Amino acid sequence: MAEVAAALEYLAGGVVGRHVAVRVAPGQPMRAWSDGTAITIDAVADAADAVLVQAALIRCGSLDRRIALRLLGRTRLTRRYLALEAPRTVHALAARMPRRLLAHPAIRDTANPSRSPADSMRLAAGRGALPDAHPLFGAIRPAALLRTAGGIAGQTPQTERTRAAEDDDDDDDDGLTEESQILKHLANPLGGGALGEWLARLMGTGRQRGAHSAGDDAAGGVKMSGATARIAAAGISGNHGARIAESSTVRGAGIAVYRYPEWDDYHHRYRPNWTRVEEFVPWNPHDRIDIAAAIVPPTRAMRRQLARLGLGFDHHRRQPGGDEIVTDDLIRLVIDSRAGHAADPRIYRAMLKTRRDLGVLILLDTSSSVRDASSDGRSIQQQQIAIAWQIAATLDAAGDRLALYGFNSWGRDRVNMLRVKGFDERLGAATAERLAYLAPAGFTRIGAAVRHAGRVIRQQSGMPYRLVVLVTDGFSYDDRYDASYGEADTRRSIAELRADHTACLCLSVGSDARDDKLGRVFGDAAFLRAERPELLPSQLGSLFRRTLATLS
Amino acid sequence: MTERPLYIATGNEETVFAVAHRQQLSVMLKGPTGVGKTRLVQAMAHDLGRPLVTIACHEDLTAADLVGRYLLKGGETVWEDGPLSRAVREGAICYLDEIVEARADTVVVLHPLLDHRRELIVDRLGTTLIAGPEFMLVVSYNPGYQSVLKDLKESTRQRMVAIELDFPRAEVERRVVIAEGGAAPDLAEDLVKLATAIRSLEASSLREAASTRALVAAAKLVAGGLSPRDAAIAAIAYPLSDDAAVARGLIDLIDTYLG
Repeated sequence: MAEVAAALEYLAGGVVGRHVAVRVAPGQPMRAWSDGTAITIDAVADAADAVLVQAALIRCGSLDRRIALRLLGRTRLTRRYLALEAPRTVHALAARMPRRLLAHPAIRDTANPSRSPADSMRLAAGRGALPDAHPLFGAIRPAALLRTAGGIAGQTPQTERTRAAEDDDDDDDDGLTEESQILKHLANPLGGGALGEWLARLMGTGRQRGAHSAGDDAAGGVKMSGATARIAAAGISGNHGARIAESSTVRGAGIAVYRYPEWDDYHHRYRPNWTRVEEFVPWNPHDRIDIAAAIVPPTRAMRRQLARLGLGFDHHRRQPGGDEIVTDDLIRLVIDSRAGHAADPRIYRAMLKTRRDLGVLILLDTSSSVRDASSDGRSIQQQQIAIAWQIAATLDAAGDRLALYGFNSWGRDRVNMLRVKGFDERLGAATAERLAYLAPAGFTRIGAAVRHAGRVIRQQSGMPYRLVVLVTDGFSYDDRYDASYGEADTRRSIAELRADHTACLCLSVGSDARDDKLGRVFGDAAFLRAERPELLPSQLGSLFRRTLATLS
Repeated sequence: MTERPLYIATGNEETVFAVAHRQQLSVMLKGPTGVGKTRLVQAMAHDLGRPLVTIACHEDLTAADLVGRYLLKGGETVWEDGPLSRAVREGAICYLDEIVEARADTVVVLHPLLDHRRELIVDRLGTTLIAGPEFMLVVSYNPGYQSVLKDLKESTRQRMVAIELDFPRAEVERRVVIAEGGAAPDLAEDLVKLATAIRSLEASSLREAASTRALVAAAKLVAGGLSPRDAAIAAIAYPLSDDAAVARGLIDLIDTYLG
């Protein structure tokens, strides 16, 4: 099952031009739909054509936010729009569409005057008769489209139908209808209670005033009509500048989902399969962060510090001295001497330190706390990205294997790893673009992120020396992951890395974490804290070397 | 007069090449593998009426391999020209394929040939060969594939004029697949659609996208009697990836486009 959905992702990706997730939703049959970044289908059999149509809609901009706003709550208009846009986009992308789909009667026989999404919208809103949308076209869900825009990149929001089975906070379910549950949960993702309220105020959502007063009331929720609830829910994510979009609970077949244990310090034992980590490629073009100042070539200071780090031994011929004589070169030496020439005496093979054998994974904290401003006016995130880019560009130019991930979390079931650069990708404009998509959101469950980073670096770096560089303020905070519990699990996850022959160090920029706290979590020699990223290079070299020395 | 090797221009590459030859400049062909670099050189050598000397570069290539060496023949030492010296003497086009594979200290031998001096220093013979106006040096270079350590030195790159080649446009690629692979027009169209889809994937696990060469191979397999699906799997899916999951995905793509 898992493999087959992955194949459909290739199909979608080939049309859209970037990675698009394909999720299989269990339960009753339904039409395929998309939220702009992922496509959901009901069963894998015969899904190829439906996936292609959804991919075509995404690629041609038929599912953009402005369109979704106009379609919200208007079922008939949505159906008519789809009946026009689906065949139009498939024809527009004929060069990428398989022959079989182009020959399908629903596609082939449509005489379509519209030339763009705006055209189709105009025609759909008019009075002309239009054919029904064929089941092959799937469906459009405007509410879902709106919830992704401005949310965590790459995620799909909760679907009403499948949400109930997965909820952690059982006590909040009593007496509430489905619609108001969503509102309450969106307003207060950490559940009710004093802590949740305080955090909600911190996040800027607080209590919702106005038409959707259900957010005020933790119990005995007000029942709203479905449409009003959806509109209200869509509106919340735009309020107060705080993005609270939630992750999909559709059980994904074929998505890269991993489960990791968590260390319970109170009971001194592991909780197996406790966290759920999912990898995404960041995609958030409507909410890019400004990192232009951070993407600059590495400074000379940085290069000097890091350039000679990852060198290993390799054979080299044509050496003036060494352990072995190379026969070919010896023959040339003899012939040249016979011919009366001054011969090249470099006939030895020696082991020199030139091969790169270091793999590095940089883990960037992408939680909401990095949105805060630091002392020099930039946000902490901009500072973090600046230093991460300097290190990444230096190591990449030196030839070390490098990967870059962002991470954040919404409780133990939704830990996100945002793949900015994989080990096999090149560092370049695409990497910088993905960095710009890392709008801060969510919380910081460091342990789960570190464990996943350990897996990625072990499986993909291909290097004997491995280093995870954590760029964070050092505070682990998440739902039921605070203070000493979170700290203990973070410390444990780093110890697990070391046991797996992977070093870990922490760079903390612009944070007010105290050195003793950072030392407790990361080890006394393995962290560096600075007010400004420019102050880091001078000590980076020795920090890296010290940390790597722990591996030998 | 032999037939011109088939090459269909996608941009102005043939013009740039011909003008560079006339103006005695050397050319660097950049682009992914299987896109037509070697075929372009062969076609241009035919058009310009010059012999073509091809050297496949590798890590153990030495300056002596290029320029020439003394050999022991019956107690006597005899000089034998390397392919580069031969090309200079004959006024041929000398094509160094995958130049980045050669070591930097070997490539440096080319520098006096690449710039305005156009001379090859043969210090073993104590002579300098001056290249005539017909001689041309062409190198091929695949930037996406190499690690940053094995890269061309700046001093080498600056001495050349570069032509950037990419996968041909769909219409051109279709014609190539029909002409080279003997494919029917429908099959050619389906193969090109498949390749376009593969190249659009954000391919961190696919080292090099499906090349024109792979499509031609698939077409030839079909002409030889294989079904389109089997041909594509053998020529495109399995060579591209060793990962079972990726191969599975590519095979399903093939089923969709060629099924």
